[in-house]
Amino acid sequence: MAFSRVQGVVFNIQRYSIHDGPGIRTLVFVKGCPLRCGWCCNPESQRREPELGYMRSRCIGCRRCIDSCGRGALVFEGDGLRILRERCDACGRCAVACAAGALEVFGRTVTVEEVMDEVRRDTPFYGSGGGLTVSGGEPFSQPDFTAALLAAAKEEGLTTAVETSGCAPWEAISPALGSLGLVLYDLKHADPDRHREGTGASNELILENLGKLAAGGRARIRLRVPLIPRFNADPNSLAAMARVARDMGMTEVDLLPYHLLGTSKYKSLDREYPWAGVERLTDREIEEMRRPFESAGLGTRIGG
Amino acid sequence: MTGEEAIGRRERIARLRDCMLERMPEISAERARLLTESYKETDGAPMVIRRAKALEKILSNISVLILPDELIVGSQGAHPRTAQIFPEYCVSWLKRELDGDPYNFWERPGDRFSISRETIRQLKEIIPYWEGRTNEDRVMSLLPESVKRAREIDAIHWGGHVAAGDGHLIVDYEAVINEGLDGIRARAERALEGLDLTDPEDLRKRPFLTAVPIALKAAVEFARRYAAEARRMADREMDPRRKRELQEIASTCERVPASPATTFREALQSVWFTQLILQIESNGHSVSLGRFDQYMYPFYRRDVERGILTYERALELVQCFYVKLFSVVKLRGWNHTRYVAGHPVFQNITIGGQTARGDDAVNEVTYICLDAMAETKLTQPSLSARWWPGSPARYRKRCAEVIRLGLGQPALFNDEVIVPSLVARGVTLEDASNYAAVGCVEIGVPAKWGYCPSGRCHFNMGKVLELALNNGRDRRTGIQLCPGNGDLASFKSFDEVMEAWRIQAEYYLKQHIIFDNLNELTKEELVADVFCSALLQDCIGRGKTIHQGGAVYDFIAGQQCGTANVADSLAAIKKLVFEERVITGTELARALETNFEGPDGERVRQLLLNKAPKFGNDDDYVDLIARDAFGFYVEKVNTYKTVKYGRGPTGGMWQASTSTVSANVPSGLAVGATPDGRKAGDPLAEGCSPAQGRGTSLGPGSRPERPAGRGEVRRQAPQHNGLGGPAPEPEALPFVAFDRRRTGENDRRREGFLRTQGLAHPIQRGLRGHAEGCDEQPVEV
Ligand code: SF4
Ligand code: SF4
Repeated sequence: MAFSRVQGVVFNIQRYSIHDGPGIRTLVFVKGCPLRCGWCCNPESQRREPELGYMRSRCIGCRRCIDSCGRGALVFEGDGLRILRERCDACGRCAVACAAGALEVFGRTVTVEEVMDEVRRDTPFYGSGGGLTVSGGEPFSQPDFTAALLAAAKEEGLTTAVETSGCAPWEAISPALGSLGLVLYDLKHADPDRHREGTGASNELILENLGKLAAGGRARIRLRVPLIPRFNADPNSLAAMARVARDMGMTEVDLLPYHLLGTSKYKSLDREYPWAGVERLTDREIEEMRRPFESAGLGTRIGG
Repeated sequence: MTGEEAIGRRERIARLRDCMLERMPEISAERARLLTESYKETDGAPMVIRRAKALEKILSNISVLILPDELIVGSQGAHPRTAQIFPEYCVSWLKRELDGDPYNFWERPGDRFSISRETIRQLKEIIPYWEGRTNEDRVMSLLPESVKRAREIDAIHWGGHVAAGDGHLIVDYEAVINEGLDGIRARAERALEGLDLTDPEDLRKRPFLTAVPIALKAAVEFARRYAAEARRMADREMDPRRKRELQEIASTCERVPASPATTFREALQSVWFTQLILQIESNGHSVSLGRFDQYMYPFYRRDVERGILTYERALELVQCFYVKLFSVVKLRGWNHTRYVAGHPVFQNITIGGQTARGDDAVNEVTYICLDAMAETKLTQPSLSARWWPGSPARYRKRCAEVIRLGLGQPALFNDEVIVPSLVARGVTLEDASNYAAVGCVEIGVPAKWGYCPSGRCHFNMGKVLELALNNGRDRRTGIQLCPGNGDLASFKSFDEVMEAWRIQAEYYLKQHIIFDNLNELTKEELVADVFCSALLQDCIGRGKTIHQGGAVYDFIAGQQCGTANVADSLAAIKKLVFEERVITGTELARALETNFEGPDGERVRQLLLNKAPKFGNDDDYVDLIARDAFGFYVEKVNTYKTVKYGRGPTGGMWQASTSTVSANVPSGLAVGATPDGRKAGDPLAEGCSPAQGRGTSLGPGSRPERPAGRGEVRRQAPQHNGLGGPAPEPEALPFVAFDRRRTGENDRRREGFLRTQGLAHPIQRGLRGHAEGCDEQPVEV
């Protein structure tokens, strides 16, 4: 197949996922995202290029990594390692040398066929509902790869889905539509300025794409609203998003409560976690947040 | 169903539950005292007769107890949860523990019991009679030195099956409720009359066939004592409602288990009396109830049609029955308790599946069993749901809902795998289609399959590996029973390492077989279960106890732990020592000897942990090593005969098992550091699960979809996205997708395990709502 040799950069493949589309699914996380959401729990997904992560808690201080690096990009300071990021090209030699698994390169270049080998391992379990979900990062930041991967999965009879921010030129999205069964589409804020503050980009393109997708009627759309304290988890913001959802012809939305899983990953990449210290929502608060949607006549699902 | 009925039911069950849970189980000397008196009276008679007479004496004198609110009655003693003592198996631990060594019963770290001063006195009084006469004493006196020393180094371990009965079977409940014990007794009496006493074969059958009517009559009399007690209580009862209930209890106990049951309630009471008497006769655990929904349904349907029973009322009765099953407790010696922590008795009820004709078997009683489980929320009974492509959606959904409650129930069993593999072992298709779960992970054919514990000896794979890597010498004790072909420092190739594994595995497997067959022989002689044998096909027909080969089918298995540690260790050696050469055998040996505490130790340990593949992640490199290492054990164990071989049953051969319960914790204590990065004394891996914390990239099929052994506990959890999403829909349970496609021969990665499984016993342990196959968490040891 022509598309089987298309390459992309992937940072994780997760099997046996049950929350990101119907049935049992394999999730392929592609690397690179145009947005910089402050609450993002996968900072390693944001940049397109592979990058080196350092998990200090696993490091036993043996310093073998330092000798293995031909670029002098590692120095030992105090009780841990410092990565001189401007020198590091994420070649991964140090990660091979590290016995403790404290160093890891996030992101590897793979072909569609290689990904499909992994996906096929669970073919008997997909049944009629399960299949492949391309996630990220932003799947449409690598449009050729994503389209080829979905086409390959569809050809093998799997159901296909993407999880997208919608922030991509329409030309990046449309080639995939022929092979796409379900689009899990994020809606983060209805207000363009607030959206820019929280994510680094306006929502205009996102809403435009959503409109085109909904009008095209080819792939099923599930709208997903992340519930982010201090950003959109207030009645007004939620009500505005509910209106958008209704106007787009949705009957139901998934509400995804914000969680704190990203913290240590930011550290490993020497980045600040912008949302550090933000408390997670209580169950009661989450329940409350159904209301603006339900009063707009929309069904809600927590998680999803 | 009226709302009022439901409220009344819930209140009754809540009170019964409280009554069971509010106090510690209590030890009683009644059984032990009565048994001892009887043994003294019958000295010199054939053992089966002595056993039947002892049961008679116990059942005629043991306390009867009817608790407020009970509808199904019958107790092991005067306390709601009484533990009786079985001195005929073993008194050595009892003697120690009565003196508080290592703990007083009420001060144990887990599985505590209360005991009165008087009980302690009575037990101490009878112990001298038993010293030298118990099953354990007999086994120990006959053990070859090699077996004793194999135990000393902890390559094998036994406790439970020397010191207790066998359990692990499903008697013919259908015969009990449809024929009545009187009917079965008549069959035995006819068989006795029909013997040709000039034929020595028939003459041999005579003691057993004489003993059966004694035991069955005793059981009937026991029920009548309950009837009398209920009448007495009814006469004094002021509350008219309870008075009626007591009168109904009395008339029920007058009829059953002697006669065929005529109502759902009678059938239930009859099943409970049978189950209870089995528990009093012997203390083997895992006496299971078979396909309860199948044999109870005709009674349910008839009563509903007659208008004398509703779903709600039947649910209440079944819940009362569940509470009674929960009341069954066993006192085990502390040393054995560590291997099966949490008071487990594993009384398993099987529901669903298909009928012998291949139709779906689900009926209303199936749902009653699930609803009763969801509402009673006790650790007994265990529930096992059979699953096949024809299982209706409502059933699948209800099972998923109950699993979601987090009770660890029901376990799912896959007909598509189990039925054909039973047939491959010589079981008829009809019997195979009728299989049911026994204990926690075993499979048997109800009414026809002899004791089938997959937990005779514990075969300590971790220790065997340690010996293999050290020329057969135990590092801790210096004992070298079976010299090997070298050690880590001297091995020239990975083949030599595998050879070392095979040498030690075969040697210690032999010790396990010798020990277990010896134990089987002494049990046959000393502790026959007459009541139990009378209720298993075809003991009466053959005139034999189960131990003598009376069962239609008879296979047994050992128990092991540490498969994943062995596989991970061998993979690490292969990859890091022989392929990548990042560490030498000598360095590795030093790191193990020092428990990774030397200067470079932690780095070596990290290397072992992180740079070699781990079993359970769908990685051929290590999974195929697991197949080879475990497969060798499976292949060998299948070549040994049990003591029933050639004496009647189909089978009579040993089988492999991957059942562990909580044995991986104490077994790990004796095993030094292993090349998988596990530190000395740490627990070994359970069953055929990945080692603790190492199943990092589980796919739904990342472990063999067919078991590598006789009992498999499968640990499985879908990846969670961390967003607190809803629990999986039934369609997301991977078991749903277990079908022949998965076991297709074209799948190279599966082939290896399939080959192994072809030799092993057919068990597919399904998805459990929690980690292990037993119902309670192991205690910290
Ligand atoms: S090799 Fe690994 S463990 Fe050793 S100092 Fe480097 S990061 Fe730490
Ligand atoms: S990834 Fe390569 S360049 Fe970067 S620190 Fe490691 S060895 Fe050096």
